[in-house]
Amino acid sequence: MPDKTLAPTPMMAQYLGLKADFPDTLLFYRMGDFYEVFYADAEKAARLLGITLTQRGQSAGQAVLMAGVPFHSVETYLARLIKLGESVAICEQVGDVATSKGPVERKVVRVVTPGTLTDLELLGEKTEALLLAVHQGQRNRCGLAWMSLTQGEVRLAECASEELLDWIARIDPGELVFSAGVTATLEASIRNLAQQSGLSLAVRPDWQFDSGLGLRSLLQHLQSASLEPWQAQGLPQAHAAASALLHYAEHTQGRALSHIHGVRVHRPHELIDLPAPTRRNLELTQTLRGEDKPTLFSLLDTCITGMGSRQLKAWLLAPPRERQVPHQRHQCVATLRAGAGQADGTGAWSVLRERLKGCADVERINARVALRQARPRELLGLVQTLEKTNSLASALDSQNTLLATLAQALQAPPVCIELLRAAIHPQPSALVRDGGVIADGFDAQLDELRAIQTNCDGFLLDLELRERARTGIGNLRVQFNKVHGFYIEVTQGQVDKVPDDYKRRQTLKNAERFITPELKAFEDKALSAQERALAREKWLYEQLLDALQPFVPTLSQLA
Amino acid sequence: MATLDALCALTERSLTLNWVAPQFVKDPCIVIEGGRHPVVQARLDETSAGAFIANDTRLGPRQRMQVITGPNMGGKSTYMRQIAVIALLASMGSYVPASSCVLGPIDAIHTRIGAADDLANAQSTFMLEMLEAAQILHAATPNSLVLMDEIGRGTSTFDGLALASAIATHLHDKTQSFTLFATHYFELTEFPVKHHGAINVHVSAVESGRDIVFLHALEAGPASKSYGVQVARLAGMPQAVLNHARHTLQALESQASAHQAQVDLFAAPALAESPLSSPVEDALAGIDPNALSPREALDALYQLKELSKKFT
Repeated sequence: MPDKTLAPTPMMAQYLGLKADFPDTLLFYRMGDFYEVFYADAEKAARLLGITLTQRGQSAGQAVLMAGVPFHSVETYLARLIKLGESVAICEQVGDVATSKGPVERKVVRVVTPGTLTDLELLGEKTEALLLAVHQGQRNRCGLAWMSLTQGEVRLAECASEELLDWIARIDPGELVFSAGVTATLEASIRNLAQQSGLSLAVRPDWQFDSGLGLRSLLQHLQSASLEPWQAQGLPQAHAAASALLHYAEHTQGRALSHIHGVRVHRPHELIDLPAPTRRNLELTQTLRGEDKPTLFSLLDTCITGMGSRQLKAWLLAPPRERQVPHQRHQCVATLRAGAGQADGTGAWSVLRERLKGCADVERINARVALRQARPRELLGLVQTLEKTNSLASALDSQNTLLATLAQALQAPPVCIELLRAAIHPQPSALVRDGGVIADGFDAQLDELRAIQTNCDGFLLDLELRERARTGIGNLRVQFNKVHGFYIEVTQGQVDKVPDDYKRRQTLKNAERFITPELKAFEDKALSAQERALAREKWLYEQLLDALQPFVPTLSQLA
Repeated sequence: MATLDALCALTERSLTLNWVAPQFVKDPCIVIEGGRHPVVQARLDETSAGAFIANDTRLGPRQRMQVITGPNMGGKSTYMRQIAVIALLASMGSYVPASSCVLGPIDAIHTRIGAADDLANAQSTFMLEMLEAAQILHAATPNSLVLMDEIGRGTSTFDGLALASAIATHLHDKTQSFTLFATHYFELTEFPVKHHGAINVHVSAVESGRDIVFLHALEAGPASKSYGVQVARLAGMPQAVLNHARHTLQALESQASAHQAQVDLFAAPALAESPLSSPVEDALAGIDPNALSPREALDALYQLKELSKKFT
């Protein structure tokens, strides 16, 4: 028999098993209403978050250090950890608490890392969280692949080794993925860079950086037989980096990415070079003191939506050498300015801006739909915005080619709007688990369950009247108490009039309480109605997210 | 939608801030009339500290370099940055803060402006300055816009001056980039005399009594004075220090004009010295620095100078 004092307790054994997969990541272990962290993680979390470090019994002959945060406020703690560059693995209880023996089955459902954020609350509205993977290839070549999980586009580039750090600085990712197999020199310079810029690092095994694997998984995501439509073929180093990038992104989200719809290759010499000192000296997005304003960007950015701000920032930091695109934008601005001289001072632009007000961040919500993480209120915002887009499109001048293309893209699929409108409650609660997110009239079963909750009194009054008429007992009453549930009360004097299908529940001094099969069925329904309504809502919500998947590519175009 | 929003924001800015559409051409040039630095202008408007003075810029194949001199605080840096900012705004598809703007192709914007010590990397200001300058010299092409602010400031006067002129020459002759070269070395105002792609410009200021008024307007030709003492006065330097500085300055200036001591930086480097000992060296051997007062030392130096002039 093994020495009991040295083996970990069953729960700690489960914890250590899960933790083994995430050695460098804080593991938030769900226990009831808390996420707990243990041992070294606990010390780190206590230090970083200022939460209390306690002990929880003993395991393997040693005290278990522990710290925890309540589940309902986990987002704020996550936000703080992410800002500090930490990654957090969220481990939930997936087994059924009631039926499991020993510790409930638990699973890491997602990993929140600085480069793979999709949560609107964790992300700055105006900044993009980018995840970058670099691969050190043969003959002094390096491959880069990067993406923002809230956008469905993978960017690829290849460069010489000595240019790599410049590229990283230019892309300015939140998190960098590199292989355990890179040379010591490169690793040292990456770590050095990370220390200076607060970049988070993730080291992945070398086999994930495989060019063939990357090509296959890109083709699979794009559902295409070749990368030629994107002119992204023949870039083995970049494909290898893409392999690790996609692998890591899916690893953190705990599911396959379904919203990747494009690949863009960045070639050197297609952009105007803006080296790091230039970006710093010209105070484009940060002042020399590192503040956010006043900068050129803060001056320019009067965008109504966060999407617009991010787009504008991207334009500012990556101006193309080719003049065609900026020239097109100049023409658009000219078109939008038209009419500004009118007496009322409104041109097309001010109409559009008025209509853009209140628009939700379609781009990010869409990505969260694709990752099946969208919240009810986000979907409400989505449908409200989609209903507006047609009015946006109608305000665009079709004379201008770029604006006409934009108008085309702004046509929201009516089926999608109808579906969302029908499904989402006009005032949904924040979380699915609170209920009240699916609209009335969307699902008959849910309506019935809700009707039971709200129409309880009506049903009972109705039953009372019917039973009085049937039995001829004038003072028969249908009542409810917490101990016995629903019952029909009949005074002792009238007991002989009770029909056969009445079953006795309780005898009091001067009354008998009965139940009928009909009332029993109602009781079962009513008592479980809330629970079942919640379960039904959850199921319906999942169905809704499924049904939205086909619209993801269209919506990302629209965004 | 994001694109639309961004375009609308650009439109709104162009109207509110009174910007104009830039024009792209195939020939290399940067011609800006009435250019402003948008951020500085916005800050001036906010604090109602006066109007921003707009400036013109004209760079083309024949005139690729501006050597900018003028008093500190006079707006050299702002002027240089405004050109880069305007070029960048135009290239991203925005209207620009100017009354007109014509741009040729641009492949890069390089800047070397001021610097804080990079303590974390244990690199000195000067090392960093040279590092960045070196990168620029390697990367710049004829279509690059290069901003050089006070290059050589981080080291001793002659070192700095020598480096600055060498860098200017390289940018002018080799890379042939569009260059804005701000400097406090007046010696560099000689540069355009021998380099025809360069011109002198200066930011203007007028003295009123002991004080100074910055006009922030750019004018052709070299600056006449640097007004360092007046700027120090504005900064609240103690009166005694200012007086001392003014006297020293006067002394230095009168000596300089007496001897025309300005070095011709752009002459070909002197031939290697002959191995024979020259009269200068002989005279030098006769001086015992330990026995000299500062005044005598200075006199001795001038004598040496005179001597060397006679024999070369």
